[in-house]
Amino acid sequence: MKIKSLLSIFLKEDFRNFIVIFWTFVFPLIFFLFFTSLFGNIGNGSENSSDMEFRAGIYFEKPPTGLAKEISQGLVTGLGDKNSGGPFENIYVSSFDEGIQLIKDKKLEIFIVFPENLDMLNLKVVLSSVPAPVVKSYYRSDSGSDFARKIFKSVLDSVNVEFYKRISSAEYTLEVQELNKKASDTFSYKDYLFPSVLLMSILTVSIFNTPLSLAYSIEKGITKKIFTTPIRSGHFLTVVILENLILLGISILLIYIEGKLMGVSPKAFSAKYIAYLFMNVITLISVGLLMLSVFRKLSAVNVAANILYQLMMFLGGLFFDVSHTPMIIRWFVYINPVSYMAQGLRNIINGMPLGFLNYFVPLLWIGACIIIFSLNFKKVMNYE
Amino acid sequence: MENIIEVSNLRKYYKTVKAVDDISFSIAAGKVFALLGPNGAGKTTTVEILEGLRRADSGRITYFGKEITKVNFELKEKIGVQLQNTVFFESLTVKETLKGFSGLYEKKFDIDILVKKLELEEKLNSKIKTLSGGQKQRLAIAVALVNDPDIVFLDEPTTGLDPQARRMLWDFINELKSSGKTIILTTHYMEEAEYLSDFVNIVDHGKVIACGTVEQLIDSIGMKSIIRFHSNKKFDSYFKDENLKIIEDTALSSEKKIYEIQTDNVETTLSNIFETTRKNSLSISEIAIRQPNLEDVFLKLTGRTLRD
Repeated sequence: MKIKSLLSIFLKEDFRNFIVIFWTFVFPLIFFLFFTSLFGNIGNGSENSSDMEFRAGIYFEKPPTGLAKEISQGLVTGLGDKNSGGPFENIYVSSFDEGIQLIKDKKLEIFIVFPENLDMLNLKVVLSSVPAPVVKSYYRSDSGSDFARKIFKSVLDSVNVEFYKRISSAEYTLEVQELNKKASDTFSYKDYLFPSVLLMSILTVSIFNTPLSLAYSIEKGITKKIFTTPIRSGHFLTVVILENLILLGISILLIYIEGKLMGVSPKAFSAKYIAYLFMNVITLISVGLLMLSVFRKLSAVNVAANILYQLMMFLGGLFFDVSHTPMIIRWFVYINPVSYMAQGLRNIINGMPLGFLNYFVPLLWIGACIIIFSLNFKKVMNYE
Repeated sequence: MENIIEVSNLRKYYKTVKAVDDISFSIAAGKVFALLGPNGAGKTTTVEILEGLRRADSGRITYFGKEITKVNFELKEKIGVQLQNTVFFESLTVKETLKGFSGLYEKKFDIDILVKKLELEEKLNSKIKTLSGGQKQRLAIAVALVNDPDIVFLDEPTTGLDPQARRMLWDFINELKSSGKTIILTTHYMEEAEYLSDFVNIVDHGKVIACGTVEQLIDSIGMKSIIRFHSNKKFDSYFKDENLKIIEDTALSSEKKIYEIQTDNVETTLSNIFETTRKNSLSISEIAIRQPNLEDVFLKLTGRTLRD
């Protein structure tokens, strides 16, 4: 009953505070909507093919047969043939010169040439003296979509490597399905951004709201007044954590509703994803408490929260790849729990398993933070 | 009369500062007990130890006849605390704040009565951030009473309030006293201590330098009457009396000073003052005769005023 009364006081204060409402509830929703709208087309052929005008010319120097035919057709379809729901319009041309002319006439953005020796892929023996078939491509420099062109190029490069491996070793690894996936299904910006927005929201509450609200209450004497009543310091901490969990719960629910409306992968709604997300919440709230036990003063907590928030967000791989950052800052990527959380959440969405580090690093942080905070609890609370 | 609180040899040191230095006192049930002293004397530290907010380095505290080592939750149900600086949640209304704090206790006082008595009815649905200093102070007292406590701690309840608001709170505190509550009051206003207290401890540098009822304290310094007047020349150069003191007042020019003289015989002393004035062509004004007060007690004991 006492906890309920105290929680009610804290929540009423929060819900009347514009800053809390904006940063906790409104901003993540706007952010998700804005960036998905802005970059939503990236790699997402299935929904936005009508918006993209990307014409690919296809030419076979010699009609392939057998496995070579199967692979080449799979590749063409996999690149996103509009007829099969992809983003590109594939145009078959009858000669190399015709294709080059169409490029020059700006009727094609890319021209792909399958070589005459494509049938070499049908051979089941390794012939190291035989040159591997090379799929060539020609681009127009003023092509409409630079990004789509890059996708083509990267896929064709992979294909050529696989062709080479097929000819020069016995190991066959090229799979048409894999190519299909790479070209059109794997990358969905909203699926990429969804965990980022969730983690950003968790960071806002755990790194900003929790330690700042505690530091404010302590420094302004609100906790002092509360400790004159029959409320234990443990009850008080429970209330503050519950308060922030409720705020986070609402924030996450709103992001999920928005994600559902925007067609985020159903895997983000799985029990595994939500359970892992909850572990992330606990981890980051612990980090917030650790920060409070180190800095204590409101002004110091404010500065530390701003710095830590930016570092954890940008060096946590929420918005771009951080695995190739310079070594001078990469160490932070390695110790940053958000790096492992973001990767873990994306792994679940992509149907990949969670690695040991995806669990271990956040759990390590939880343990360390709780121990340090517990040791400093009385000092933090100004409690004698 | 039964002592509700007994404190003996209480000490609280902060590094080199002796905030509370071997203080002992007892508080009778249903009385107003005042800790009077200048800022930094150790009043707040003393009451915060009694409230359970600070831990004493040594000493013995007894509540309701039982010695305690810490103020437990059972005891906190029986006390109400108004801190020197109480900050509430700014976005909550007066009603929500009172209800919220009331929910933290088992025993509850009727909030409507509290609000009426402290004249907060009109502000019941106003947010804390819209309240004036006096209204916030009254709310702090109301919050201290939501559990209908037996013992009420009021730490400088009228500091910063205008005279009218102060008088209103004094009346309320007297009303509380009439209802049988024990009140522990800290103040640096001697008028407040004189008006409200049954028993006063004068505290300075962490020590109790005098204690007793207001009358006992005043009697203890042996003063009868004090004559106060203004003079525009160096009156003290012509009037030689060891009891004559210059009262500093920066509002006056350097030429004009306020003098006070203690006397057992008002008529004779006044006659001497007039005689000196006439003989030396001096000018005096604003002559007043007053009885000694707690300020004089403090001045006598420490050589300083309560405001120093």
